[in-house]
Amino acid sequence: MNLKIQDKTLIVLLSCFVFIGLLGALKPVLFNGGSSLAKYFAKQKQLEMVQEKNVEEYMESALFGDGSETLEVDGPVYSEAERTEAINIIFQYDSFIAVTLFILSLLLFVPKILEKYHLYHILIPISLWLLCLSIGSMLNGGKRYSELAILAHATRWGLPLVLWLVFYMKKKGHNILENKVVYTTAIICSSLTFAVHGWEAFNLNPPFQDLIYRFTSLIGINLPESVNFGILRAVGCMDLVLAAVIFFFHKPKIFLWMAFWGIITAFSRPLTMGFDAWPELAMRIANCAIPLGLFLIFKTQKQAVVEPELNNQKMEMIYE
Amino acid sequence: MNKSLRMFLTLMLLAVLSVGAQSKKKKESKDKQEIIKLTSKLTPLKGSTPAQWRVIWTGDAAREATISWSTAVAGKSHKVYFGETAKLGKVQECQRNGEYTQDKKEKGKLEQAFYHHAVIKGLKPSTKYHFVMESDGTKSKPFYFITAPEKGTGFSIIHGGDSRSGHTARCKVNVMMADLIDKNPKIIAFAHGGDYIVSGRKWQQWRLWLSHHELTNGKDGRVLPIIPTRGNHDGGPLYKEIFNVDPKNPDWHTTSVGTDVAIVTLDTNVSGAGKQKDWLESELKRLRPKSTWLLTQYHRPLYPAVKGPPAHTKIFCPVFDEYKVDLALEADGHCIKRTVPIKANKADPTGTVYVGEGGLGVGQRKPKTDHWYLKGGVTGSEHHVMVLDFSESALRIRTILLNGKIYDDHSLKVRK
Repeated sequence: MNLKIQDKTLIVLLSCFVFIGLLGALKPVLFNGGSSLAKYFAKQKQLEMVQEKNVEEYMESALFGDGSETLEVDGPVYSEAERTEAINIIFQYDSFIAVTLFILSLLLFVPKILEKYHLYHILIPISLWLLCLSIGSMLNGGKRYSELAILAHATRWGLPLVLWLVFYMKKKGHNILENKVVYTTAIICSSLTFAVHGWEAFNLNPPFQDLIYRFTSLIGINLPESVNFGILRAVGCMDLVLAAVIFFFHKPKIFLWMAFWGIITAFSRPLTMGFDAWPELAMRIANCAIPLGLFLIFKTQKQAVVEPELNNQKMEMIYE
Repeated sequence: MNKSLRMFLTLMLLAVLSVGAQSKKKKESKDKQEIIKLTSKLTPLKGSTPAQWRVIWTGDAAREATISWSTAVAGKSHKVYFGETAKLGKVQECQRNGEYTQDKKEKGKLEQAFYHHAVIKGLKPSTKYHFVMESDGTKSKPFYFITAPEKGTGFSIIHGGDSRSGHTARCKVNVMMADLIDKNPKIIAFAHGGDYIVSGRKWQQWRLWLSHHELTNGKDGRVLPIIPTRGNHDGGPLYKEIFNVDPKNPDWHTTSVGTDVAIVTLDTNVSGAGKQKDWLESELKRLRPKSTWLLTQYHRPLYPAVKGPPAHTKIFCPVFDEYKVDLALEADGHCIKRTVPIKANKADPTGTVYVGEGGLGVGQRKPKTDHWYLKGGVTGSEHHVMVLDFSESALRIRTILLNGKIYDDHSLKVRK
């Protein structure tokens, strides 16, 4: 395949993926009860306002012999309405941040302006916000492997970071298609996501089991549990191997396979759960985007090495 | 401005502020007294004194029950005395005893605690069973529970979920349940929709929930049997240790409340398809022809009012539709919800009604009211329980708030 890309192509491609990913993250924030971090803060605020810790310590002392023997009541006592108001303020800030980032992300479609006025720095708050959502998921818990959320979502918050690096390095006069900082960051993010998902698959994470069951039932196969588990373990091994291999071998074919696998797994959500699950796809688009970016980078690098050699051979033939 | 007028206004302002401060102080003191009073009602986990008792229903509620409790020491002999009168007469040794599993970080910091489960079988339906727990010679106070009827309806069940945080509110809801059973002896069980605590692996959190559960007891010593469901925050081994589930077995089960009412409890933390779906299909197929009321209970809502739907929606709902499940009890969203009847993912008067979302103490969230399945249904954000009144012709669902007000009162007609 003869493929040679320009910086601009890579920037446009990654920008589109960042926008789609952000859109996927915004939907639950605006329409499904707020972001994971806002939920965490709301819960903490609520518990603080009812002085949960003091009550807990007092009860623990009375019932189990540890904790505080007296019930401390510090600070004001809030009514239900006051507590609700405080929580609403958190969610209002949450929506405000989400909407602001969405509006700013529209600038991604005008890369010239981004570059000219250094507005590409908006990618940093986008990346940080997505990282915060992962931290929120980790803090809230309640899901298997939620403690690994930051690593599992590395491509989600890593994609805007990689794009920011692309802009930044370009501004500094580097060739972004050969810049080690750019592709190493991308490799780390991809590797982390594949490693955690591989680990989850290998350990038969129930939502993954359901994806396979649902997919096979759609094509009329009633899959036995043993086969489901076998597929998951194989997928898990593959993901873990890929996560390790990409640090040592920068083969475009490997990245192309990872991009393909990333898009397949992202599409499996709406395919098995219905179109309402489109944010699940959008959020996971980064799992495909970063390996695709790496594929383009290394494919171009490889051709840049091969093509001068070919040119030399042609010249030699002409002289002969 | 006139000097005296200014002085008058200043005095008025001071008076208003002082009244405000007084009322806050009164409220503060009232809350503090209430917590101290509630705590004093609970049994400290000390030595071999039986504490944290509960009656568990996960099978034939007319003929069997599990009586469980905790002690602070392992002990050697644990048994329950029971019978149809206060004289008791029968005895059952605990079949399962063990130490509650502590999280790595808890080991060495928290005192050990031990569970004891006595499964009693061969009970008579619709019968008051008195019982006293005994560990190494230390006896508990006398309690009693009522078994489910052999057939027919005419009883009520409380449903609620999400008691994972908000200790004061959790205790208040438990006290409300105790009041409800004191006033209404027809209430025979409590179906908990899961998320008892925040982190299922923390014994420190479970032990408090277990002690708080004592507050659901009636004034005359009535214990409300609990029909448990595992929530997404209840991961880890403690759930099975607390509700006497064999570690090898899954957490889904059917509670037959007589022959006419069945509650099929599912587990939304594991794969919905595969074994669980097969089991669900076989259970509903078996139960539908003989049940007047067929209910399902699970944690994550299939038609959610707050979050997005889980993968289980596409798996469970077609099965509910096929076997005409009457009512689905849900939790997790931290709100009040009742959907319109749903069949084939559309509003249909012959479909299943989905209620719940949890308010047993946890902070409430704002439900999204513009879902098609909630238009014509009900939503809200207050601590609550749902009382399900079963009769031959109707299933009445009342959502009762902490202040005793009925937020929603809805009846389903029996299927012909």
